[in-house]
Amino acid sequence: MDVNRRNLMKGVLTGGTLLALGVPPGAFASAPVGRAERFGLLLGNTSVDAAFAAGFRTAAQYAARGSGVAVSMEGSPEVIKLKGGLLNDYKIVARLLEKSLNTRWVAIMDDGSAAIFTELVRNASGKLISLGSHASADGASIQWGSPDISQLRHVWVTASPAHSAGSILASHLVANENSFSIVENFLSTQASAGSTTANGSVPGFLSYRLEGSDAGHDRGQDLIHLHCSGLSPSSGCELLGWNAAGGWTPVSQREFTQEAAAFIAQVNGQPRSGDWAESVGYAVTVAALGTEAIQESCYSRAFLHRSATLEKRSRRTGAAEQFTSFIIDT
Amino acid sequence: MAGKYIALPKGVPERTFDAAIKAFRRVLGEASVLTSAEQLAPYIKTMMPVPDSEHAPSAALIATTVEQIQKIVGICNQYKVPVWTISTGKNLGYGGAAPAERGQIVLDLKRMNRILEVDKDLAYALVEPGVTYQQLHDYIAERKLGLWLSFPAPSAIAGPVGNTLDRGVGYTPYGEHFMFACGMEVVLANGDVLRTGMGSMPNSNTWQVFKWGYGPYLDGIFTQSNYGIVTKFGFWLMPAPPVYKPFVIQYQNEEDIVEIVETIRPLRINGVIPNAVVIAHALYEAPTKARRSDYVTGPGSIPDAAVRKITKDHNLGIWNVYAALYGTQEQVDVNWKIVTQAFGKSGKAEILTEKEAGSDPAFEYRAKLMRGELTLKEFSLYNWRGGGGSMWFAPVSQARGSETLKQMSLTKQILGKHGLDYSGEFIVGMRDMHHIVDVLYDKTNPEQVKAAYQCFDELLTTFSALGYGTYRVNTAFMDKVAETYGPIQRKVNKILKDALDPNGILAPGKSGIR
Repeated sequence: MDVNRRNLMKGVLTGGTLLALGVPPGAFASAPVGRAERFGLLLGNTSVDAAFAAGFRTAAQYAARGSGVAVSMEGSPEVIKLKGGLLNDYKIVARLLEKSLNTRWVAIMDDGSAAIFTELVRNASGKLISLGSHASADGASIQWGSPDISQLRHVWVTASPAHSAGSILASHLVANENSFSIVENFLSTQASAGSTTANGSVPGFLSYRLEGSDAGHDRGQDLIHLHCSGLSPSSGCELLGWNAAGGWTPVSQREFTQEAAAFIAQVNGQPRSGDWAESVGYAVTVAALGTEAIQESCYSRAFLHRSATLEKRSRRTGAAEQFTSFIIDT
Repeated sequence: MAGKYIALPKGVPERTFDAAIKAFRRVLGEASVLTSAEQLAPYIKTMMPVPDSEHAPSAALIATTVEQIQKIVGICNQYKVPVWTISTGKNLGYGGAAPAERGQIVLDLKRMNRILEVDKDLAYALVEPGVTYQQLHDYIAERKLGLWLSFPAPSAIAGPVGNTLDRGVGYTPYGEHFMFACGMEVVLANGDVLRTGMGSMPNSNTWQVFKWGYGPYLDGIFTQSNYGIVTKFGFWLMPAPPVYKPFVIQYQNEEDIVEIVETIRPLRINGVIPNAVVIAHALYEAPTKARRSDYVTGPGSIPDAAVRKITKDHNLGIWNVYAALYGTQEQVDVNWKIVTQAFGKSGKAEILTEKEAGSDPAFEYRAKLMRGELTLKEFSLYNWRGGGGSMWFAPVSQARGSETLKQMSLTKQILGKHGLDYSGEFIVGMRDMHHIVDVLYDKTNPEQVKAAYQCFDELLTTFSALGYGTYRVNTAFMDKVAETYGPIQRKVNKILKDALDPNGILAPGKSGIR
């Protein structure tokens, strides 16, 4: 480790490489990560770092079993953990972003740190692939608050559907969680080449497209897709606070069946976690690797789930948790 | 739309925009004209309760010289495309780096970052817009110039040009930043370059020492406005005092704000306490030490009983008055006697110095800000509610106790009605108070997003009806605030805009001016 890098690492705890997480070298060798030559994980000293990192590890191990287009990567991925959090260690992070060229970072931090991190990424002329806000409601909110608020809420701003995490996360959460909402807003509609871009969805969800949005597409209007499990699209809209004029057109069953079959085959092979933050870590890493099976050409999409089964309702009783995830390229 | 751009300027067809982009690339080079979604995403995220897509730029231009900017405005005039200029873009809680309106091009001056001059004897600096406080701080420290900076909470990553042009404030005796600005260089919409004040005279060496120049004082019209692009900026720096004595005075009841302000005002006006004192409510300080979820769960604003428990658990007052004395030991000793006598009269105040409170995280970051030392600790505020939502509500009040109590009570009541907490403080000027309230909410929660918007709207409406004007506001509410200042001001602003920027290419919508 040279002097500059040693100085850079002062004040942070680094796992050195993903070996510390149990990920073998070359795990990302078969991962399609665009022009990035290196991969890294930045842990911002949150209470869910370990769970998120576990999801990252799982996704990396799954990718190592060869589920993607071969793109070679040099060197070992880095893991950086900020001992004092970013608000104290902002200079370290600023130097890291300036010096780590051609690297794709997955990061997790608290909301205060996230506000500053976004600024540091822009300062360093980095590319922001996705920014996710993740929140779980506390037990009292679940018990006494509005029944219309999801217990788990995820809102992503993502550059394009090529790096969407929504359907992977939805597929993980639907089995274990009582209610959740996942909203993704895409800045461009372009999905990656070779992806499944037709209107597929996650098993257990019914898919809808905002009426008129396809016709509007040619005239430059927004495309909005909604995937609902356990509730109607109009109820879904209300939950999300969407003022969607017009109705929702169900996606044709034929299209659904074709894409769903491909997706089911892939999803069934993926490892599962009962931990929410671990599922987010997994989904974000899969998105960073660009291996998301179902990408939709739309500007916004949402996955909404409400379980009809009462027994799950009591599961989430702890304190509220909130964190922000990032995928960035330096 | 599935075109190659994530957004287009209003009324500009893609073909025209294509031509403009090509022209920009000829001036700046390919790498300095950003159009891809990944490149523009860092500019888009805002903390306001409106869709980020409403503030998505069509492109970002990275310019580094005056000549490039002159050419850029020429292209903008030719193709009628608007630019939204940022220096460091750290307008956190006021709209960030995102443009006022969807499709505007961001003109990013972060790489136009030369420190042109720092004069140790006359204690001033002349900088370009991309210079950060960190950069200037390091420059001064390396050369042992013995000068202090004054900056707002984003400190290290923000810059003096952007903050002062938006009339932001800091916490040292130089905290009213625009008061200490002296001379600027501006590229006008027609490409002319104006140097204000004494700078208009060739060979002048008083550009950064005498504010007023000759004739109308033009510097002011380039603040909180869209009349030109500032490319050089002069401002005064404070010589490091021999002695610096920070302290905090804690009070335990919200009504005590009356006594606090009545005590502080004469001390500020008479120069005993020279810095921009902060009177911070417990909920403004609490996030540096406490988690909201440890004291309250469920929807709604935090009850007073929970706030009181936070103060007990974390050594906070309901009000925490941060101030400092600067000067020689003799001066500080005399003023300390005056301060302690003034605040000690009623017996309600607890006065703590660095000796008693030095290791307290809230005191520590406040002490840093008051002596021009960089810290980002205040952004713990964003962890209070979480979810990434924040808007600064910033009305101005007289420095009278009755007024501050009235404003505080009204703000707290309106926030509470919408289920939000009062995270507020007063920054004490000479005769005014900047009442700064962080409207914090969870952007992942649609109910809170709606509540935050309605709350902010109600705050602006209610306060303006009572004659309390807002000094600064985020980009989603600029028109509303402009309306509250009446039609004549808007008309005059429009006349100036039409004269200086007839094609409306510079930041349309800034402060409600188009």
